[in-house]
Amino acid sequence: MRLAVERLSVRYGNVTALREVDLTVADGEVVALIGESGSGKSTLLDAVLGVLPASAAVSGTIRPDRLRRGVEVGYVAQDPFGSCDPVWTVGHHVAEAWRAHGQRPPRGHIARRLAALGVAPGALRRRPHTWSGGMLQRADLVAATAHAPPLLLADEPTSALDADAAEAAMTTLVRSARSVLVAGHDLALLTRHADEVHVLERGRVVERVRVDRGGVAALAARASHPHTRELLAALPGAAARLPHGHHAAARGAPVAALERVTLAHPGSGPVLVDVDLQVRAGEVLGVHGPSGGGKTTLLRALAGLHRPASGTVRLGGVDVWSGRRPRRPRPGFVMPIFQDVAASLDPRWPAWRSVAEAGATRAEVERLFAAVGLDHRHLGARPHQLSGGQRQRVAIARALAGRAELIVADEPTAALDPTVAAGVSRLLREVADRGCAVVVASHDRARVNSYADRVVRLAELGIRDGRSEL
Amino acid sequence: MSRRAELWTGAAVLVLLAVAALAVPLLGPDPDATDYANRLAAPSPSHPLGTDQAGRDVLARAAAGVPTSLGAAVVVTAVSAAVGLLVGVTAAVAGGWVDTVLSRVVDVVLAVPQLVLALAVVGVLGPGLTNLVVAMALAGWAPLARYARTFAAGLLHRPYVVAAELAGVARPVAALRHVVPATAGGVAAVATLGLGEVVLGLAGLSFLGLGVAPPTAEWGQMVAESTTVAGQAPWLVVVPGALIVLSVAGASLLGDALAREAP
Amino acid sequence: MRGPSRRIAQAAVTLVGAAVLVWSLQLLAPGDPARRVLVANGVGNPTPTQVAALRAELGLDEPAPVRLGRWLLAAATGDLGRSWRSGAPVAAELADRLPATLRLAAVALALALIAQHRRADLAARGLVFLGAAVPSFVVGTLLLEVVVVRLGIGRVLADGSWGGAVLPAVPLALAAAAVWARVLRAAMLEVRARRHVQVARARGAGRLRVLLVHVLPGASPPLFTAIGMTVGSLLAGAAVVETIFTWPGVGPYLVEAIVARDVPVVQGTVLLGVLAHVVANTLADLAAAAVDPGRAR
Repeated sequence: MRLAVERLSVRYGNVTALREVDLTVADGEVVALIGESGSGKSTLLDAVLGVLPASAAVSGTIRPDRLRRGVEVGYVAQDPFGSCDPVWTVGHHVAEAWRAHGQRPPRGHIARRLAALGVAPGALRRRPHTWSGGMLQRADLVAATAHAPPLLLADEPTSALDADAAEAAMTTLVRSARSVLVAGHDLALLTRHADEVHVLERGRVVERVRVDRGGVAALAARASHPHTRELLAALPGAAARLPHGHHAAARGAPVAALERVTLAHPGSGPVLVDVDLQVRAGEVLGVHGPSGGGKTTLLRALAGLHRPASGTVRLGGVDVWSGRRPRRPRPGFVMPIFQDVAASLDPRWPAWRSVAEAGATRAEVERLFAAVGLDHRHLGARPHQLSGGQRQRVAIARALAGRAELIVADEPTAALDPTVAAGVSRLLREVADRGCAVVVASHDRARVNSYADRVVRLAELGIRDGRSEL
Repeated sequence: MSRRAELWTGAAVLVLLAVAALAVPLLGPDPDATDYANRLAAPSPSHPLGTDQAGRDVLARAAAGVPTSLGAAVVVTAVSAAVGLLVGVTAAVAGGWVDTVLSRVVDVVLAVPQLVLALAVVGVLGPGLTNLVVAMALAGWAPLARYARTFAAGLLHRPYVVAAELAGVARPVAALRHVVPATAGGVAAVATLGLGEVVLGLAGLSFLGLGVAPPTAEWGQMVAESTTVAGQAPWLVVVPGALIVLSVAGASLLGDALAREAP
Repeated sequence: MRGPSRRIAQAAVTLVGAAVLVWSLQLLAPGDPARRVLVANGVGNPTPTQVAALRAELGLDEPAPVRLGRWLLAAATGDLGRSWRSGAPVAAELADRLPATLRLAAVALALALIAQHRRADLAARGLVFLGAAVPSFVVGTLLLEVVVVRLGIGRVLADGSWGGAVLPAVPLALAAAAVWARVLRAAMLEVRARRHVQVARARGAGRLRVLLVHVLPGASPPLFTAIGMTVGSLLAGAAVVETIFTWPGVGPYLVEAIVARDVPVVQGTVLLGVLAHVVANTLADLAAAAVDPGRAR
């Protein structure tokens, strides 16, 4: 089946989500829709599915139209946990794909297909929250392709998975249907699995490139539009490694150290065992690992927020846990950057006040804002008036206001668009070059590699003081 | 209804009632003046809402009921909110055994349904408006304390509070700056939502004869006095009832608008 | 399972705590309880000897913790003491009147549930708003006047039967239905916006299927919680409604006891209300957790 979308425009009120989009998915092909958030990818998929809200104004044609949902076109969504109804078992969820059409799933069919994907069918009796993300995505895929639809639509199918699971999920996905239309913003992953790439910017298709599963290199070779080049430049490995000052202060006493530290959560087993780790001024240390592996706990321990089950945590040479309450060399010695950008600033306070609270006068705050690339307009703004990237910069300014010698950054760029993330990474590198120590936890190996001096892996309980994995 | 519309309508209704309470006694007849010759009179120009079984002007009595019925409810709500906020924030910020003890106390009080607890307290203290207010305040602080604790505890874990502590701000100070204002706002919104229920509760208990003693005007009691003559003079039931509805509606709209603002 | 047994154990502890609270309230009372009882029973000016005699008879001279312990142990075996007015066992007097109240409550709950089905149309929505704002005693009085006295349907003196319970149940049901409707509406809106509902639609499920399989089950936990809370408030509501309709239930019994300061009756009746409330809420919590295990309380 050949999907042809011609001059499709979609408007919600006075917001135009899609402008005159032309798109073709030939029979047997995988087409990727690449764009940042707000570019219209989801709207396009919803239009093909026919599930746009009634209030949307639509013009243009989609052929074939009125595709029978579930039977002629399949759908996979971003977050497998969000796609499954938490009230029912996973088995019920998968079987719904048949029951929604008044049919019953053929005996043993679901179990066979799941086994083929490496999932034990016994788990079908359990509910979604007991499954892992990667497995649940596979089960969801079985549901999406229940009736072997010739066309499969996937909206950011791997965003909620970490790198290894994402690769496996994409591979399975593109094999599950004759034609696939997949939307996302992970350039590297999509160009490796797609035959053709359409780049969307603010509702318009700005470029159409044939990559034949050639990866980023194929795209880079043939792309010409400025936006595409921008996306390529924002890729972690794409630019030359961010230049950084030779870390003269890499010798000398460590700013923070973990000595034979074991970390555990009350009521459950140890998360990390016998960890030895040192961070020195001027260096960026990356901590890489899958979500839930203990990165956040490690960072909290470094900041003196999590008491180790055994071992010593030192900040500036001082034993943090010599008493019952944590002791740090001075207030502001270690400052945090969080993943949840929305919650990292008090929503009721203007931005300058959040920075001033860390110990800066109004004049100093103004200088800090300039140092992090913000201007005086942002001083009095409330967090909700700032973009994610801008809020993260305010958080960095706050860290500098505290005269931090150690910054612990927990997934600082995970929630940001690639171009914005690149900017924040650059800023963190600059901060380190001026003498601060920075520890970054991230599941985005490539991004971290681009600006860290060293990267250690949390692959197993306990980590060794590792070398960079460039 | 949009949030602004709700806010202004709700506030307007309550203000209207307050104004009526002040204006009517100045302009109209004495609510306590009896006139047995004219009892149970239907609404007329001289008595816009008629007269009751003792010949008293219903409009005057209804307006006189505002301080007792609505005013008492406001006092109850304010006291419950203040106590609830204090207990909830203390539990959340102090943590540890303080939190455990306070939370258990709240759980125990919550195990008794609010009006039943009020009834029990009145049963012990005796009828009367002051006792009623005390009873309802004792019954009303616990749900607000639980709400305040949950709200405040959530805020304490927010990244910006953690950042403040790392920057050297002492925990109580950080709590005061970041947690208390937002929690107070949340509690105020929830408490205002509950104002309507307090009005209903006070009226109901007064209806049962546990509230003010006659001849003080109170809407619930006015209905109680009129049940036997409801057939002849339905306005004696409808007027106080309508005022209760108005108060509850106004409070609900206002509370809803306040609650919608909360992040 | 750890979860449910923990909840039940906590509920039991809370119940005991609440019983202690209920009993301890009488310590707030000003004056001498024995004196009050005598006055309430018509003895205008009790002499000190009379008061002392009554105190001894009622066991009021023992220290408070002892009296509390005695009462708790007795209550656990179903003995709620004796009424200070009639001298009859409270438990027996309650048992006499409880069936009528239970019937009233059951009919009210059923009516409120049925009312949820008709939430959508305008008349029902208006009724729902009124139900939240109109006091039950106004609805009750007007209903009594219009239906029973004017139209002659039913009897003025109610007899505690199922059929007779319908009219008095209306004011109770109205208040409950209003709360449930608001909770259900908010819950359904929230569930409808969740991703899995969109995914189900995207895979071909029709509107009815989405409603029955996904939206309603997903919205049920908050509804269960609301129902649990309603049960607790039924006793107080019954006090008012039963007074209006002269329904032979527990309500008027409680009110008379309050006026007469008959402490054992008030304590016993309130304890019953607390028991019902704790049980209902625990059941509601368990049901909600069973339906949606990931739900944070």
